[in-house]
Amino acid sequence: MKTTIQALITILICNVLLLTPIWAVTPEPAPLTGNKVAITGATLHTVSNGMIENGILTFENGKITGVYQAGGVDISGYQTINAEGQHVYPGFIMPDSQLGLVEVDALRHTRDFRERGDLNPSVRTLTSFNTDSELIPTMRFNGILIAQIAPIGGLVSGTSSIVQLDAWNWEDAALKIDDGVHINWPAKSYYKYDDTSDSIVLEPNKSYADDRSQLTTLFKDAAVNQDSSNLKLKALAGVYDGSQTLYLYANKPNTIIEAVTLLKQAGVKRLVLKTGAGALLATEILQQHNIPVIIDTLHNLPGQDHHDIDQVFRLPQELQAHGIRVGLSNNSWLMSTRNLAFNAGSAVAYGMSKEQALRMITLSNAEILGIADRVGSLEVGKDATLFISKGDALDMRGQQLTTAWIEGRQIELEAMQQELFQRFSKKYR
Amino acid sequence: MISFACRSAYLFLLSLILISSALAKPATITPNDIYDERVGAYAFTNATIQISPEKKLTNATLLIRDGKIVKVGSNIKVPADTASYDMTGRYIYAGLIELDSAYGLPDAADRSEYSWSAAEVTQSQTPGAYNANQAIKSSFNAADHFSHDKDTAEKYRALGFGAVLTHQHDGLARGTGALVSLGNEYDQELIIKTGASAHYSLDKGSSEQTYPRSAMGYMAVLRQTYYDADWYSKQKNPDFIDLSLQAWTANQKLPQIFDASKDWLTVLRADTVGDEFKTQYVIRSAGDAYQRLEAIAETGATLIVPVNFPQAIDVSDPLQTDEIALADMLHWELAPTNPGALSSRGIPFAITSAAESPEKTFWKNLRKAIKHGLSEERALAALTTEPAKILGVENQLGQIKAGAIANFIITSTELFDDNMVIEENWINGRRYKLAEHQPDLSGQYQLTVNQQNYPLEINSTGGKHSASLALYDKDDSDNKNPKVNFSYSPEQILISFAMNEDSLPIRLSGIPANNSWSGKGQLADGQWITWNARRTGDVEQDTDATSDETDLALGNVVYPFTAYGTQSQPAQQNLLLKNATVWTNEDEGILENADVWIRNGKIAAVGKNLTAAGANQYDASGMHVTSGIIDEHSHIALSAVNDVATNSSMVRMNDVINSEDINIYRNLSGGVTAGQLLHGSANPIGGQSALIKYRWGATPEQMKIEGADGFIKFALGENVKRSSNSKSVRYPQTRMGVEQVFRDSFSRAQAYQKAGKNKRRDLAMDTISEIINGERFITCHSYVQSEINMLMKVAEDYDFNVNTFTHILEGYKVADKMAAHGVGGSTFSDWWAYKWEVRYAIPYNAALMSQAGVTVAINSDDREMARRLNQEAAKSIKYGGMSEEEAWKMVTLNPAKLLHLDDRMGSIKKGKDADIVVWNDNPLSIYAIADMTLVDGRIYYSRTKDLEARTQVQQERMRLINKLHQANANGDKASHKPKPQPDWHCDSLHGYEHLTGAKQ
Repeated sequence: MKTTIQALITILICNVLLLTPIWAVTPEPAPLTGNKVAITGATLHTVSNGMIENGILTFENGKITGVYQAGGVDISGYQTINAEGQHVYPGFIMPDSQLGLVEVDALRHTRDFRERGDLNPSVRTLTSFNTDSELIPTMRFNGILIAQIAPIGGLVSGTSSIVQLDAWNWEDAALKIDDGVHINWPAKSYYKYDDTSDSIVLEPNKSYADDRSQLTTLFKDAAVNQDSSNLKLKALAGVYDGSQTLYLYANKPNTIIEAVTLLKQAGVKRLVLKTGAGALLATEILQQHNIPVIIDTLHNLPGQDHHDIDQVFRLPQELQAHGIRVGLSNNSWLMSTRNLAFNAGSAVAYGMSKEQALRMITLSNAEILGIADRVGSLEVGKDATLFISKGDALDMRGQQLTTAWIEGRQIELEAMQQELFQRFSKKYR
Repeated sequence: MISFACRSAYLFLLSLILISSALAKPATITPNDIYDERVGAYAFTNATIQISPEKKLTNATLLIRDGKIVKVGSNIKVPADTASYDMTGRYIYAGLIELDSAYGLPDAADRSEYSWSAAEVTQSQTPGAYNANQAIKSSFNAADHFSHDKDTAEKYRALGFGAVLTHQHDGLARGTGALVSLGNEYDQELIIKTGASAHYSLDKGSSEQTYPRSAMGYMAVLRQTYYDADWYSKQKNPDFIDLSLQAWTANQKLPQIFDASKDWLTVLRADTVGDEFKTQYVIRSAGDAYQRLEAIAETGATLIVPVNFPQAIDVSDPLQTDEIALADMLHWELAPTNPGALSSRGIPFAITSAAESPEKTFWKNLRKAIKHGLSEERALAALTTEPAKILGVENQLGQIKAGAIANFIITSTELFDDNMVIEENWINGRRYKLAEHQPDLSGQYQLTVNQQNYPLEINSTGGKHSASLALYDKDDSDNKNPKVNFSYSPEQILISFAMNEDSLPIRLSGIPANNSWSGKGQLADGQWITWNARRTGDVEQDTDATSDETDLALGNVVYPFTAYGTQSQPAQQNLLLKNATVWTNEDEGILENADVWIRNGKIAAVGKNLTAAGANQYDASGMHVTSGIIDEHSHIALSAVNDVATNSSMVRMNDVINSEDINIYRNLSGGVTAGQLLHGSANPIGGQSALIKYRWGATPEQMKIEGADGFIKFALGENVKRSSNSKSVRYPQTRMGVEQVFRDSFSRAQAYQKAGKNKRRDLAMDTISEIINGERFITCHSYVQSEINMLMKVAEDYDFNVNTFTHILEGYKVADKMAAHGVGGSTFSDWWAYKWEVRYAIPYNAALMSQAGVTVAINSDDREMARRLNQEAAKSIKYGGMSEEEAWKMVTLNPAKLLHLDDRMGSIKKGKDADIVVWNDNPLSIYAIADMTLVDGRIYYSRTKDLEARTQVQQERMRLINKLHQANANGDKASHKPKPQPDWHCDSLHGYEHLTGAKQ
């Protein structure tokens, strides 16, 4: 009888939960319970220390406390999660994203990623980051638990921050505030469509010299005016002492060479190149200045007709082979960002090891973004920002998140899309 | 007023010129002088006369009188009233004829640029009783607007032209051309023939009307106009006047000339239209016909071809050189072979001088074409008799024969000689002197000045003389012979020189007389002296100068004309794939260790332990064999995607297949073997689909799937109501209006079908009729549930079914209704959030629709994602827990069903087309790559072949880059003008949005 009542209550609670329109708003951020949690039986993809089959991972107060091979580990007093046959990964990290800055690409009302003007170093993304964006749960569902929120446009787009993706507000979300400044190097020419002849024409960029001089002058002035009341100059102070990273977007070999040379001359300490296959012909200068690269996406076409069909899929390996540290983004379309892990998987199809591919979207991204002390691997002392997947998380055949934690808080994985699925699944049953 | 004033002043000037040259003038004109009429009778004696491309007379005489040729031949007696010119050592050819020109016509108006953010212009902006489409300008007669243009005439004459066909390059139908003479005469005299030709193009020109704006729209408008003109001309009492249609009909009897100068694809398109209306156009092509010679030959058209060969691309920066397409480099090398290739293939053609700077390149390039295989005879014919034949004026122009207009040129050498100079261009019996005749003065001379002797050497080439003092041996590197300034005319010889840089000049003037030259001169100190010179011997021939610099080792034409193109189509395989995991998509399911036999383009057998006599065996153990992926919604291999008209059902994507798109190859590398190329989503009723197989290297025609059913794109929602364009004025602006557009079209089509025989043929109504008669099937771009439901109800009211909803992102909300209606869904795996109407798009859509009993496909609508469709299908395993077999069918069998091709494609079954992919892993895995892709049993892609091709592409590029570098060093150098491929989506206007849209 007692069991029946319990069962009834359980059913009732479940029903109440199911009936609650949880998708009407994005899921509530999870509380930190203080529980000691042990995940057992899973394959631990530590990234920093290889793969541990049948491992045990423990965490407490939001930090990882143990990463073990099973056997001889006392986990009494822990809330135990049996993840036998499953896989544990550190949360994926998405660099260079406009997540939370836009809701619907086509609607101007929802776009907050590009301020007007060319030189906007002081413009900050953090304070516009919308923790209630409906896109955020779709990222978490696919293992992305951390993102760098970056502005775009102009010559100096603004200052990014790094956030974790389960928070009441942007202050709570912040993992690293104002981590870097993002710039676009001007191109020497640009394409213009000519309606009359229905053809595309490459035209010289008439403002190239001006743009370039605007940038070089700004960096020259900012180097010696760091206490200035000029917000634009002040915002660049960190790139000279290395407390902030300068993220450079360029994707033509000549542009990369020119930009890196001039920015290094200007005294920029930490430079990261956001690029695509254009970097292949500029590896020497990247190597010379030890500049890491964030590849914009692997789900992209070769740059030219004659380029190898797998040019972009092989890009990370090719760059690594030149001794360049490679991180991976997937920022062509915001909606597609959630496919970050499958981007990494594509590199595997063309010869990269699974470990290396996984590292790109975890520890390498963390190192490049300067947050490797907190996240990016399953290591004692790091944040318990991780998830369990039923299968290989780099393959859509395997990726199926069952549980995920951000800083030890067990987050809600399902949201509007899953709720709609369940609703209509029931309708067509 | 100003232009009138200018014109008057101009006419006044012209009259001065004309009066001074005193030939006949129009009888209606009263001179402001006493009359001075002459017969203009001249004889040209002792000439070498090329009377036709085939026939040359030596030591012949040409007689002209009153602007006409009277006689040509040997032993002709010169009449007493005829003045003679001695043409010893000179050559006479018929005046050249230019067919592509707008000479003497006002400039066509400019068109304001159309973009997605501009207001649509739904009606013609031309006032008056002209055609409803502004691009039909058939009533424009060049002769009505022609006026002599002295500067342009002079430029043409300098090139050797005597007559030009001029027409206004504006509109799809451009009206008539006028054949005009290139002399300086009264306009009345210059026109040889009014209404000499009718002109068409696939370029809307100055038309401000939004429709049409794509090649397929241009073709549709031309087709409709043919029908309209025919219908209109049969009306006894037409209830409206359309001057354009009247002119169109009248123009049909003229030579029909079509401007397809964009590329050879446009030539084929023009011919397609002509074939439908039993019209053989003469087609003005670009210089790229050699890239598809057979297809061009099959058109049966006479071409008008340019000799505007590209300049060598600058390859000095190796980093930038990587951005130069192989096609651009190869075209640079092969363009000069174009005329020769046409000639060898027996394709008749005329040559046009149209180019950026013909004055610099025309003759140079003609000679280049001859070095690359064009015979001199064909070259001359292409400039004279062929154009005359096209215009039906063989008796007047193109040859030197009695009765013809006295248009001819006098040259210093044979016409295509490197040093040829056109000395005189006679037009309509009038002389236009271009260069003084310069005799060959080459030789050694003894120059005696003030009793001192100097050895003088003169070299004459191409009508130019160079002179120097021959003091030292030519090989003497320490001492250079002093240059001599020398000019010659029968009236005066000028010689000046200084013995070295430091000495002062000697300046001489004289005349030729009795085999020697003499005169007076002045020394540096002012002293006047006498001088003379006499020839003492020949110049030593410079043996090095004759070496031919043209490198005739050329690359091969590949199909398509791009990287990874091949010289021939791959052969059909007799191939046995052994021991593979075979995804049959049939009741047998997935077979382990099974074999597939491919023969004659079909699947010959499927099963275990097959033996196949004569077949090549391919060990596929560890591999997965599937049928080819079919992309239900693609825009690759197209030259256009959207036209813009509320109902654009008359446009056909079959018209704009682009076989040269590298994405065909890239799709093959992702296992995609066929696709539906859809019109875009700008209109509620879009255009007719093209169903093609990805036969890499085939022509557009050969890519089409034989016997496939007809499909058409419909669209709903934000795109068709132009939501992103705040200036849009076009009906409909709401989803309510979209429904009305459909109901209106279907009702009208019903009425149209009932209408009598004399009804106006309406291509849009023809198409809509096919739909309601169940002969054409709708693939409808759709997003939200209300509109999806609406279209099903509208279709049911008109008694037919919607075939497929594409995108169909809220299909999961009405999947039960879709299943009941019998419509399929072809969707994206996980797209959403890019616009408002996809807010509730969920990645579970495919699984849910499938669960409700809908036939579901996953499509691309994206050239990049298309090559990863296997992965997109796999997402339904993650989102919705679909079985792997069912997931796989979503990119193979199910799209085959939706396209009515499942009887021959979509599964591995005996008798079906051998469209097969061999994968190195489970095809749904992110780790899987296609090892081999066959279409019709031909291996169009294999990983092994691809790796070899990369090396070949690299070698070919380097060969060309090195050759370009050599050309650059010789002064032939132009900055690179890249021609990137378009990236088409449903909402593309021109396909280059990815390049022009500011990412930065």
